[in-house]
Amino acid sequence: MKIELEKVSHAFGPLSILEDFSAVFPSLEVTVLLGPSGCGKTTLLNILAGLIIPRSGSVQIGGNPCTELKVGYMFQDIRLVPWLTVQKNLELVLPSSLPREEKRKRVEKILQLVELSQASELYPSELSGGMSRRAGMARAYLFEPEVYLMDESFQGLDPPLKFQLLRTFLHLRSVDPRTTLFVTHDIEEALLVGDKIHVLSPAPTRIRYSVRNPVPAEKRYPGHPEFSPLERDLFAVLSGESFPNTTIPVV
Amino acid sequence: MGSMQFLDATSGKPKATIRLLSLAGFLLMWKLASLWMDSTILLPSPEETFIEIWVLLRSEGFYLSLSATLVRGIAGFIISVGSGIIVGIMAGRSAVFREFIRPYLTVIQSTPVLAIILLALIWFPTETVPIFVSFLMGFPIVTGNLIEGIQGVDPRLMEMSRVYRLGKWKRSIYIIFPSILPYIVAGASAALGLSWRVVVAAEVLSQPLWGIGTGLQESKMRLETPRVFAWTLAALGLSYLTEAGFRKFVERLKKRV
Repeated sequence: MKIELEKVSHAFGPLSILEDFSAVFPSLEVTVLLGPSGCGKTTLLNILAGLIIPRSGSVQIGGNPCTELKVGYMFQDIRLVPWLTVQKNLELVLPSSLPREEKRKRVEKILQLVELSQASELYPSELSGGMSRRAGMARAYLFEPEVYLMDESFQGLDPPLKFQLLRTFLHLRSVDPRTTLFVTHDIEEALLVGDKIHVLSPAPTRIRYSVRNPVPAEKRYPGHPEFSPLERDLFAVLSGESFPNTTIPVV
Repeated sequence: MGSMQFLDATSGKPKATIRLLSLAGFLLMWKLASLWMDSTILLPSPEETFIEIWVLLRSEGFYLSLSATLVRGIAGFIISVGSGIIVGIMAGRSAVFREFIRPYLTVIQSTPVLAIILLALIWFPTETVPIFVSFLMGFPIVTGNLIEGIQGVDPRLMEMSRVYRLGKWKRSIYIIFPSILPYIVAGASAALGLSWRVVVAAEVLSQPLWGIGTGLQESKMRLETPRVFAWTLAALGLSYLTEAGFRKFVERLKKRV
């Protein structure tokens, strides 16, 4: 489902975060929002999740108001319920009308996909950082949403673990492709997951630069030779230098 | 090092040993004080008190008094917890109601218990006074705790529940109730502890036919100090047993949640 934001504005007190922000995020693609901390990336996701009502402007997902649509949100801080096991945390987002056995099967299946089967009876406090993120990812996918929102989901992890989780994410995506908005401030992460990358300016947020990833999802890996010119350009835009003289077509 | 380990130990046998030593120390101090005072009316010895307890245990009136106090205490406790939970949830959810109810809670908590008992004696029948006073003393504690608990529910989990469209039932059972349970338990536990003190105090003043407070007052009037001590120990035992029962109930509830 295509996500359309039109002239969306929002502020926290005197601090204007979004001013007439417009963007279109294409259906079934992973769009990365790359930007510095505090630029309004999470605000954008919260608006799409219906957690924040913007002061003005319209947000539509597939032509419908975003509050009416199912959104699978992988929060930056995961937000698993601390007193429920991983199994119960995941079952929580399934419809109550489903038979217990069916719920168990669905959870088992998704836990296998994210390689977390052995942790189904553990509590969130017993999970490592990587396991918590896998559980959060599994919950978002299990909900079968129309749109996935991922907020700096792999931030603060060591590179091998981050890469492992990114591969899990890409695997899930290949099994069940859906429109995804992926927020990060990590260029390498953006290049590995994003079909399209938008670089955002500091607040009030604007799209400074957009680029389509030239490498198909299944062929991406860290240090891919086609990434290095893009990486340089994205870094230049992010660090606020003048627009780079790039060979990558601007979309 | 060995003695340090003993002092640091807080579980199992060392814990029980420390408690027994503490009790033995108390009994020794009591005995020495009674020898020094040398007056049964002023301070009976531990053995005189235990003999009196034995006499009480063999009398039918003791059990009637114990049951009457137990029923009053439990009734007051249940009413205070029940109403405290309802009002607490309402106040926790509505800022307007919270501000509306706050002065009432402050006034109840600040009013001396004796003043409330005396007023209750004017308003209610003798048998009802201890229940009313127990309810009135426990109610603000439970309500205050509930308000704190409701306000303390993690807003991030509430946001998660909105995003994942958990219905009211799921949200209440899996997020709100487990979040506020420790506050309910703390409030109810404090209310229960207070309940026995105020019920017995109210019985002393209201003199219902049966009750630990009635027994205490009658013994005091007859200057039977060992019996006053025996009734006091009965009240302590009642308080201890009900609190132990309450703790067991809470443990089972936590396992189910």
